Amino acid sequence: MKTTKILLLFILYWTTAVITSCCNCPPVLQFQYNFSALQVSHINNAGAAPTFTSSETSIHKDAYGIKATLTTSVKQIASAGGNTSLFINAAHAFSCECMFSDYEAKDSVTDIKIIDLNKFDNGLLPGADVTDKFAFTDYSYIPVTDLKKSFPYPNICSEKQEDIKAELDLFLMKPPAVPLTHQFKIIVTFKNGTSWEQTTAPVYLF
Amino acid sequence: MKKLLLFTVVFMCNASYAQGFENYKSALLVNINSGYELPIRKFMQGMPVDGHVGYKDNLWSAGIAPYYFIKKRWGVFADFTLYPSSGSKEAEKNADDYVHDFYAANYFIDDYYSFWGSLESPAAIRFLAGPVYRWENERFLFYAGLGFGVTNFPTKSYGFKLKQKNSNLNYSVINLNEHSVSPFTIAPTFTAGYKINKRLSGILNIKAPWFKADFKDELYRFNHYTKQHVTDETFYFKRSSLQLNINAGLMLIMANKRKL
Repeated sequence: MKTTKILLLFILYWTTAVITSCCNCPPVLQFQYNFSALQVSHINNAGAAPTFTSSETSIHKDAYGIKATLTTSVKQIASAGGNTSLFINAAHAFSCECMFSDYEAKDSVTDIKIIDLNKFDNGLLPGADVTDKFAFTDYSYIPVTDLKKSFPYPNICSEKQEDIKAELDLFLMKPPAVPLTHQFKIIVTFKNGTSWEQTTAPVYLF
Repeated sequence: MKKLLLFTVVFMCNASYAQGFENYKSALLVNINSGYELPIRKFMQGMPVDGHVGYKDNLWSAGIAPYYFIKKRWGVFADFTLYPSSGSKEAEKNADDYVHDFYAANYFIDDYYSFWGSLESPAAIRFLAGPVYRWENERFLFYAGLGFGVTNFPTKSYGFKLKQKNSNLNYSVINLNEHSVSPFTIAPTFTAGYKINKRLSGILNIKAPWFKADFKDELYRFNHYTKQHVTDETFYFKRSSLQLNINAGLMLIMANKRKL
């Protein structure tokens, strides 16, 4: 019985030592960012991998997309204490990987709109909202109308301050029936009421 | 030196032959063997679906077969044979090439995300059981049996990521239906042995297992945008196999009749 108790104490000490040695991480650098600019370009997805251009071009209408890049201005807001305690609440507590930094958007995205400045098709005149014709990412195809709920806010793990950006590949999933030239305006609205907008170069969708 | 060695061998053979061993006294025997399987009728036929199957025509095998004699000459046997290296890399490559060719006209295949799954079990297993008849004299034994059972081999999963040409649509061709198949097997067996001592015999064992597999495999394409799937092609795997399994090993008498 006595031997069992000693053994249990030894195991408890050894387990504690292993966990605490794994979690000896530096303080987490906490950053906050504002979205500072919006850039847009065409995506030509006809080939095996997408290509990008900001100039006027022609693209197959079934393989068209818009790349919207939101750049940020980042500032450090805090430096949280080191993760050296036992059973800390961080997800990395039981691995030997440290969380060096945490980036958080100051204002969340509340709306994304895509407007066609030209006639989209016979039913949609110039200036029509064509957001529902686009979907985000290549495999999950989240409708752009739902993107505000699952916006891919950028966050990286780095030991120093980095420039980060949100890149949105918005693919045209419901193309117009007839070949026409289009020009799309992207409007991203934030929680504080501000918005960024940018217009693509003309594109002939055939 | 050579003469001395030859004399020793001849003398020992004669000496041991002169001893002789009892016939038909053994009741429980175990045969441990290892050998090679030669195809008479090939199971793998170089078709695309072959890569999905964890089986090869030419396989090393290891087996164990207990025999139990109820009567003087009649008994029953069970035979477990393990084929440790199942699956053919060549067949997998053929299947991979076929899938690439099949979709090449309309799709790009993203090889980074494509895979051929590993076999759940890296072996094929055969189990047979049935009646056995024996002839024995003081030096030799001959057993003939007819086994009925199954040949079990695994099948592989696979997956390919496709991107349609001139399109934003992505697909997955995927088969996660990893399972094994166990076709019914029948095999006449013949064992010839030389009695080394009263408990042990050296044996040569020949089996001719025949089985017929009957299952299907599909090229199943999932559209990530519409969440719909279509079956592009169905492969019916209806083939029979006849092998000649030649083994050498030892037969050990575990118990004699009077001791049971």
